[in-house]
Amino acid sequence: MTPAAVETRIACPKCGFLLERAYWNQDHFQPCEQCQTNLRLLVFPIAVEPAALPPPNPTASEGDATCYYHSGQQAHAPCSACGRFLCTVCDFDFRGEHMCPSCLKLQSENQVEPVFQRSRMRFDSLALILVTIPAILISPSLICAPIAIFLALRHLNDDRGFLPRTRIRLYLAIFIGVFQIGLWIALAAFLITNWPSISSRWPK
Amino acid sequence: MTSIYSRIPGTRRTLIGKDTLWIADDHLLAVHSNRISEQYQRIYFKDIQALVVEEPEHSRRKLVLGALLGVSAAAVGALGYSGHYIIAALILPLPIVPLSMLVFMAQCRCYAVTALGRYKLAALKRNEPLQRALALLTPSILEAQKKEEPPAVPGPSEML
Repeated sequence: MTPAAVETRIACPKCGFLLERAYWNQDHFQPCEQCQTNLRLLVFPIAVEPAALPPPNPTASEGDATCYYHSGQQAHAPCSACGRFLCTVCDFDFRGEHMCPSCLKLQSENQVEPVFQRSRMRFDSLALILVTIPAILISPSLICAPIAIFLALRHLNDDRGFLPRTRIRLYLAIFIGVFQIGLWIALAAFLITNWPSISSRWPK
Repeated sequence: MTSIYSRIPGTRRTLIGKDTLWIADDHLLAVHSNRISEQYQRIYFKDIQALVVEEPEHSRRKLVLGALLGVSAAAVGALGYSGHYIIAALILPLPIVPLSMLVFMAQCRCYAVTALGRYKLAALKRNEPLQRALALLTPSILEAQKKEEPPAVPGPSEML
């Protein structure tokens, strides 16, 4: 049986007015009937064609292997990670492998796989910020520069994540941090060596 | 490690953040960065029902920013002309704010519509990168939504 075409209507992002098919896939902007906002819609086949449903799961009969999570359902495949038998409901396709819900949850919690990563701390940017922004106020760089160098060295060999990214920020943070510390040391050395002449200029 | 992602044209920069778009084989990755950390939003091609581009109405905003630019530029000019050079130099950066807001104002807004919601693709706010991004995205989405043919079953004569 061929499923009937789904009548999807795309809403105007501004006023929520449901836009008719006349708006679809035009090469120019058209004003929304309600709010007059100029819109252009690129509509893809999935909007009109229903998504394929998973095959129905057969009920287990006597002698059949059953799903670990649904004892009444016939096993369809074992989990690639833990080996539990899974029915079609519990079988998740993950990179072409069969996965059970608990193994998938474990993967998600560990965030090892790039597809499960939802956020990431950028220590290279943080180190660079620590050697640039506080340097404007000069004195905070005395504390921030060593912290930035520590951060940069600590995370120099970290995994850079799944997006292309170089280590330039880390090297830059180390370089600027060392330079700032060098300046502080030079200032301290200057003050120590010239202390008698500096202090003599101060009014008593 | 070679990345599965490649960059899509379009970037939205703010004072404390940045939005970018990346494309993989089967999904689109919207990255929002606040300079220190990044948040990821994945939208799979097979789920995208439509890409909606909105041309925002900015006339009132342009008028206000234009007025601010005019007033601040006039103030700098008047102070400089009357010989108050130090004050004029101090408020010189003032017209830069409305000017930059006018120059970098969003020309468009793009949304990816799925059956479960609408996602704003914040990186696509200028027309020229938007066109290039759409040229990259459209074939990938169409390819992902191409109907999979059922595996060919050999006829009885072939099985013999």
